Formats: sequence, C-alpha cells, structure tokens
Amino acid sequence: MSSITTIAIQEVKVLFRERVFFLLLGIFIVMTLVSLSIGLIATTTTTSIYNASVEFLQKSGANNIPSNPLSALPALTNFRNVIVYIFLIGSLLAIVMGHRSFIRERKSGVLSLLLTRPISPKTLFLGKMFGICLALLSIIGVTFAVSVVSSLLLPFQHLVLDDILRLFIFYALSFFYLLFFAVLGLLFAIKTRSESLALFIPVCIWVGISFVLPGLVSGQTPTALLNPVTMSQIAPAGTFFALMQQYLGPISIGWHYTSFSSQLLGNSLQAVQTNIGGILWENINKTATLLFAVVICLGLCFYLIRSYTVGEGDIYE
Amino acid sequence: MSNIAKIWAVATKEYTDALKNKVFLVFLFFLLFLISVSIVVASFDFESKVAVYQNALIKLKQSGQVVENLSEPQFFPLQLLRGAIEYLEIIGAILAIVLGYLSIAREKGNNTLQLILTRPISRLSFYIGKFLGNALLLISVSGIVFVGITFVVEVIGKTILTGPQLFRILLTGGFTIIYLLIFFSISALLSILMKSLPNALIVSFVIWILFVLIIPQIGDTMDPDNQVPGGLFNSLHIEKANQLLILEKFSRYEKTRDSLEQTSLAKHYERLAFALLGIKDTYNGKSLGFIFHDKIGDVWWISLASIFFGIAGGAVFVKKQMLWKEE
Amino acid sequence: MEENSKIIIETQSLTKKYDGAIALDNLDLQVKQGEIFGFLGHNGAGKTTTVNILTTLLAPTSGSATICGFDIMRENMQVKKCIGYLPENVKFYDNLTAFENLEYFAKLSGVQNPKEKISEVLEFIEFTGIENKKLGEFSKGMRQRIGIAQAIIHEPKVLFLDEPTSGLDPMGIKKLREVILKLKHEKQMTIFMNTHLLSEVAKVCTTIGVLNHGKLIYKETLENMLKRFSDENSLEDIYFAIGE
Repeated sequence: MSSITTIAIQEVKVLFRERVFFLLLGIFIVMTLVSLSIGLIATTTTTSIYNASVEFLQKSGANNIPSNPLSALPALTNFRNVIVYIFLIGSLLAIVMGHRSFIRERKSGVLSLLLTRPISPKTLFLGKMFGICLALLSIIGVTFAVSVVSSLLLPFQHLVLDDILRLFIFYALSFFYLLFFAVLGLLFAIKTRSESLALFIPVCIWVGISFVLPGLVSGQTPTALLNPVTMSQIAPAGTFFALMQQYLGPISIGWHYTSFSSQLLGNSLQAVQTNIGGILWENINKTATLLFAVVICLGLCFYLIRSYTVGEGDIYE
Repeated sequence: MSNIAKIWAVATKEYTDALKNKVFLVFLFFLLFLISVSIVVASFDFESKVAVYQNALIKLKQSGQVVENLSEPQFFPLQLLRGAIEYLEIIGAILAIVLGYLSIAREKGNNTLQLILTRPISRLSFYIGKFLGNALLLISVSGIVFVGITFVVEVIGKTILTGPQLFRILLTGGFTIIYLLIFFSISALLSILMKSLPNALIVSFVIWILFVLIIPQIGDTMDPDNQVPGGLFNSLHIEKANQLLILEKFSRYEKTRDSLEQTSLAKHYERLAFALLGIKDTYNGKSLGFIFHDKIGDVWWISLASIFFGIAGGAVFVKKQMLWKEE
Repeated sequence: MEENSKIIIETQSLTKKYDGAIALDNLDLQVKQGEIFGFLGHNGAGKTTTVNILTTLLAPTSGSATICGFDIMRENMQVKKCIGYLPENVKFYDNLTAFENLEYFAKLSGVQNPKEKISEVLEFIEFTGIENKKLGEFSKGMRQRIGIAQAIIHEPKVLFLDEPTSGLDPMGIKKLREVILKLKHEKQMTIFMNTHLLSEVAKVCTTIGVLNHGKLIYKETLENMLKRFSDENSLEDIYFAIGE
C-alpha cells in the first residue's frame, strides 16, 4: 500500500475517531432536511396567500391577475436553502477540517515523527489531501442520497430525472467549493506558526469571498446575499458596478457558486426553462474559475510544504 | 492597593494586550474596511436609482405621458448605513468573539492564572477587570466606527448631519456595544468551560453562524413576500393596508416565523438599529419616543442577554477549576 | 558505504543561523557505531537544533553531515530509513489505540509485516497487553514507551532521543534506561541522546558531548572524562568545570 494511501486512510480514520466526520455529516443532513422543510412550508404558505390574494382581487373586481409565480417553479427549488447553508456553514466547517488536519499533527508532535519517516513532505501533503477529499466526497455523497430519498418519500415533492441530475451537479459543484476552503484551511495551518492565526486568516478570507466580493459585484447587502431568491439578482446599473463586475466578478467564486447553484436548482423561470446543457455551458467560466482557485491553493500548499521545517513553536502555541 | 485599583490594573493590561494582538488588529481593520466599502456601495446604488429615475422621467416626457405618478428617490443619509449595520452585526460579532477567546486563552495557555490568583485579588475582581478592559476596547472600536461612519456619510452624501441625526448615531453606537458584549461573554464563557481552546473557538463560531446568520436567514426565507423577486404583493399590486388584511388569516405562520426570528439576538439589534437610523421606511422620520415604544422588546432582549451572559461568564470563571495549562 | 564505517554520525562545520542569531556554530562531531552518545548543554545551547538537522527536519545554514554514510541533504530518504526519532513530549493520536498508532508509523517506515513487528517490539520493550488501549488513556511514561516503540519498529541503525526522561517518574526513568541499554547490547544500535539528567548520563552513556552557545566545547568517552576530572566530586561538578 503506498504511503499516500496509508496517510489518506489514517486521515479518515482519525476523523472517524474524533467523531468530526459524523458531526459534519450530521450537520449536512440536518441542513438538507431543514432546507426541504422550510422550502415546502414557505412554498405551500405562499401559494395559500396567493390564492387568498386572488380571491380578494376578484372580489374587488380586478382583471388580468398574474398567475402564481411559484407554480412554474420545480420541486427542486425547495432545496435552494441548501445553497446558503453550504455557502455559509459548509465552507466554514471545511476550513476547520483543513486546519485541524495539519494542526493536529503539529500540536501532538506527530509531525516530527512523520517527517523523519522515508516519505517526502509532498507525499504527506498528498495523503492528507486525498483523505480530506475522501471525507468530503462521502459527506456530499450521503447528503445527495438523503436529498433524493427524502424527496421520493414525500408524495408532493416529486423529482424527475432531470431534477435528480441537476441536484447531482449541484452537489458536485458544492464538493469543489468546499474543497477550496478545506485546502485554504490546510494552507494557513502549514504557513502560519500560530494556531489561532492559522484559523482566523482563512475565516477573514471566507468573509471576503462570502460577503465582500458578492456585495461589490451585486450591490447587495450581506443579509440580502443570504436570501436564495434575491442572491443572484443582477447588479444595479452604473459605472461603479460595471467596473466591479469587470474586475472583481471573475474572481468572486462565492458569487459564481451561488448564482450557478441557483440556476441549477431552478430559482427562476428562465433557469427552469433552460436545459441542463445550456446551464452548464452558460456557467462554464464560473466552474473554471472555481477549479482554478482550488488548483492555486493546492499549488501554494505544495510550494509551502516542500520547504516546511519543524520548529520549536510546533509543539506548543 | 484598593480593589478598584486592582480591577483597573487588570482592565488596562487587557486593553493594551488586545491592541498588540495581530489577530484582533486584522479583524478590526477588516471591519473598518468593510464598513467603508458598504457605504460607498450604498451611495453608488442610490446614484444608480437616481439615474434610472431620471432616464424614466425623460422617456415619459418625450412620449408625452403623465409624470406626476413617478416618485423621485428620496435621499436620507442615514439609510446609507444599512450595509454598515449589517457588517457590524455580522463581523463585529466575530471581533467580539475573538476578544473573548483571546482574553481567556492568554491566561490559560501561558500558565499565568496561577501566578495572578496567588496574589491578593479575587477571581471575581480579576474577571471584572477583564470584562471592563474589553468593554472599554469595544467602546473605543464602536467610537472609531461611528465617528468614521459619520465622516464618510457626510463626505459621500455631501451633507452635514444634524444634531438629532448625530444623536441617533450615538444611540445606535451604544446599542452596538451592548450587542457586541453578548458575543464577547459567550466566547469567554465557552473558553472557560471547554478543555480545548480551539474547540471553544469553533463552537463560538458555530453559535455565531446559527444565531447571526442562519436563524435570521430562515426567518427571512419564510417571509412570504420574499418568495418572489420584488415581493409577492408588489407583483399583484396590492397595497399595504390590504396586505395586512390578507395576512390576518395566516397569523399563526407569521407568529411562528416571528418567534424564530426572536431567538436571534442579531435580529433584535438589526431591528433596533434600522429603526433608530430610519433605514426601515416605517420608522423614517419618526420620533425617538415612538421608536422606543415600538422597539422596547428589542431593547430588552439585547440588554438582558448582555447582562445574563456577562454574569454567567463571571460566575463560571469564579466557580470553575480551570486546567492551568491546556493539554 | 565509506571505509570508515565505524563513524556512523559525522558533522562537518555544521552551522545554523536564525535571523542572524547563531544557534549552531561550526559543529564538528563524530559518533561511532554502537555508542550511546549523551549530548549535554544549557537551555538554548542548540541541542534540539542539532537533532532536528541530523534527523532531516531542519536544513543547516552551512556545513554538512552524514548518517550511516548518507548525506542528510542530498540523500535524506536514505538517512530516514536508517534513523529512528523520539522528540520531547510527543502525544500521538489520542483516539487511536497503541496498535493503530504503531501500525501507521510502521507502514510509513516501510515495514513489511507491521502486525508481527509491533508484537515483537512491544515484547522487546516489555510493554505488552496494551495494544488495544487508546493513547488518550496512557500516562506520560506509557506514551514514552510507545514513543520508543515507534522509533525502533523499523530497526534503525541510529536512534535519536530528545530529552527522553523529561517528565518521567523514577520508575519510568529506570525502565527507559533498561530499554536503551538493551538496544545497545542486543541490537547494536547507536543512540544519540539529548539530556539534562546527569545521573542518567553516568549510568547509560559511553561518550559525552557538551554544547555551549552552539559550540561543541567538550567531547570525550565517559571513562576518560571521569579519569581526567578525578578531582571533582560528582558528574555535576565535572559538567560545571567543563562549562568554565
């Protein structure tokens, strides 16, 4: 068994034993079920309010009453809150996962033992990354399964094959989004000697990616960015926002993730009417940016781990 | 040395230690940067609304149509602070969490607690000193933020704020401090209670996400008017009075939604601040008396929570036999 | 391997600087195969820096070193295959059992049959019956013994121990001493040991080196040292005399 596989399996084993894996899995499953519940309740209630409004308007003698805007949206939209939960909670937990992966070895003194084994620092890093990927894939995979099964069990939450495919692509996209933050957590755990600074810096970057960049690109306030209905709204017109979109838009991976995900989960009539191929084609540059961001982070980790030296500060903070 | 002098010695050390801490300074500058950016973005947003209005006006005039029904966007300078308040609510809370964590981690990690408590100072006095030092720090931070905000609004809005407007900003600053002290106390409490400091920090972040972001988001998402871009009632052209009439039949749903939002202290702070600054149109131009009467619940929530967690932190610190050195 | 294979650890002008401060100053050191080398020095003398460099954890600023004839910079993988290392205060993976911890390190060291090797090593150090206990439940002394086990599981030629007796009770120290002597006599292992405990140096070491502010100021076999400083009453007095 190669050293990379040994390290990867060890990584997963430790996550299991520390119950971190189960905690993360539990959180993701709860997020999915909460999202579905809220989506269903909100949709049902809004439809009832719409019907009551129509009744009121008809009594007042109104004509040409618009149809229910929610009726055209697929059952998949009931999952749209998952976008926000993965965007917020998932990414932060991914940072913690990446951070702990390396800090654990440093704090326990095991890092010295590993680096005096006939394995290179690169092998150690690759093994850890492989382990983190395995853990994340399992979590995402189980969450996807729970989404599909919970929908199948609810008679009025009817998913067709197209919906399941969209859901699959959404979770695949979410995997890469989470992977970026896990690598970010790992990167600063390697780079920074202080354990708390190694956590705080990625959290700052997370705030920038989750709130600042999308805010500048879309003109929206932080709380508006968390509403799955309004999160992908087009920015107001004007030179400032045009410039922001031109220069910051391409690197705003949080914005790319939420807007791509919103389209996949049928957040608007236009998105519903566009087929999957069309949505994928429209968002190809966003996917490429996200993957590029992951690759950059991985590259930086590679570069840092190559010249990593164990210091006295590695045992005690 | 009197007890008060000892408490003051602890408080001043706490204040200066935080100012030397890189993590705290990073978050502070980050917060100031975000707030400035949000005001700039809000002003550009307003300018674009004005531009849209003016274009619409020109087109209507050119086509000979009536323009009386078109209302010009009104400029209320304090409404530019919407994003700033939200960043204080979100990022300010992280800053407070960082302070609470560092305050305890400093002693726990360095083994200095034994040295201090073998001096003639009680645990309670020591904790009060720490709390006071950090409260003064948050007052300073709040002061810098709100003076900065005032300056930026005046420059970008090209306006001089009036006395009453400045007073409202001062009040909002005061409630901001009370709100931030909640998160400071929660973070300190967890750092005292939990064996592992990094785990205490992670749990603090999880609480922050839940009560500052997720619960308000759920409440917001459950709002029927937020299910459709632009609002459901707007799309049906139903006026406010009639909206309330229709919603009467759904009062239980609304109560559930509201109860959920009530659990979020961030939401209370936001509602209060938006009302004081006239960010929410319903309170724009209303007297302070009216606002306090309407928002008294929010005032009580954040004040009592701040007192509760502050006392809880002190009580736990006094009682708990902490591990002197983190394993 | 070179003809002078009796010398298993050799450094030449080994230097380490940190931001201008000299941690290790032109260290020229030779340790022969089979020796138990006690490396003494005040706090901050550079003992751990030396060990970190020799175990390939840290790159020197200048100079060179070979272990088992392999250069630590150019042939570091070969060096790692022939060394074992126990740092000060290592805690391992608390949530895994002793067996799982050892199995992991054995695999990474290239041990072909980890299960058998683990049993063999635990028997050697007389620490059996604990394989399925989680490391989190171990005392300091027990962890230290697991530490020794992981360091020797791949049968290295050289064993580096950094303050191995730190925090141990007298029984723990005694057991450690017995293991070290057993490793020398039964496995012909060379042991390089950083330590402050002069009493242990007297009972275990064959050769002593003294580091002072990054410089090696004294190196001698224990026997010759005791003869040279016969006027001194104790090893402690000899140590202070050397320091002067």
